[in-house]
Amino acid sequence: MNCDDALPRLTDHHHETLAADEAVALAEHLGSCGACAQAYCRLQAQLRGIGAAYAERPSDGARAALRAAVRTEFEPKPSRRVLAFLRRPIPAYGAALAAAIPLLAWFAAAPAETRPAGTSGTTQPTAPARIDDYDATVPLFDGNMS
Amino acid sequence: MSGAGTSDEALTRAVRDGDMAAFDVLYARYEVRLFAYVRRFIADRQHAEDVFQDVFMTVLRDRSFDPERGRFAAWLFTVARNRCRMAHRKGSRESRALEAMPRAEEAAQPRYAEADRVRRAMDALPEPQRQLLLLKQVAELTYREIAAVLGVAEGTIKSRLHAATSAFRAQLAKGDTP
Repeated sequence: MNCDDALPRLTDHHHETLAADEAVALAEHLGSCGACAQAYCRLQAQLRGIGAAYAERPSDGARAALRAAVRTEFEPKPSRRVLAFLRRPIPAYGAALAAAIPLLAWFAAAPAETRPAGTSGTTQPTAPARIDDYDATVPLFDGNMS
Repeated sequence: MSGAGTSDEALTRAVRDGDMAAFDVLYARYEVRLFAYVRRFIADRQHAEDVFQDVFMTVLRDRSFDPERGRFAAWLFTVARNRCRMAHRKGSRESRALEAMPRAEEAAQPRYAEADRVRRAMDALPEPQRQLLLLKQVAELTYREIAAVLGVAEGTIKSRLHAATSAFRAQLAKGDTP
């Protein structure tokens, strides 16, 4: 691309409306041609100047008034906040914990014998197993093994 | 939710849910862009601030604007444009366009003299071209957003913007010659 081709395309290049291959060719030309690069910089500065010429900020009072109006309009009322709290999604572990509460209460309140085996809180002494027809005084063997 | 990278649409939803931090981010994004745009049409600063607030509140309040579907910036500047046009129609002294921006105390300084030169060049443009450059350079809208505000095709915006830029530069050059 030469200067005659580049100069009419500077505006479109700035506004990014050139085709991709044209934009690449123009960028390459701008990298090697000081005069066109300067013309491009001038164009950019002129267009930036529009923004700078009109840039103006509203007063702090205007900002405060708008903020107060937005707060009044959109801040949730206490009743709506409570409703939102109640309507909030409950996570799965929360639901599982909530379901476990009555089960835990039942375990705490129920008598030990009604609980399922192995779930009692304390260890009770148990009687030894009873074996019928067994006399401990009778020797196991009479000494005549043959 | 209300970080710098959050989209305008997400911030709008958050503001409507009462999130004031989201409002602060949204306001910071648009205070200069929107106020500068409004100020171009309304000379009186107090009146311009009233319109600025009205535009912001209208967009936030208007439930017909669905942040899921529409672009916040396009909607904001569409409302601003309509409000400014209404102010013009009323024909009040306050709503006159800032022809030549008579700010004598500012114009005495070189920095402001350059701004004054730009404003004069802009004032010399036909209204549609001026609108286009304001929406692009002051409001910093994309082609798509400008097309939505002005109600024309995106391709048309691109070609018109080229013409408006050339006309603006010609006016600047004309101002340079004694």
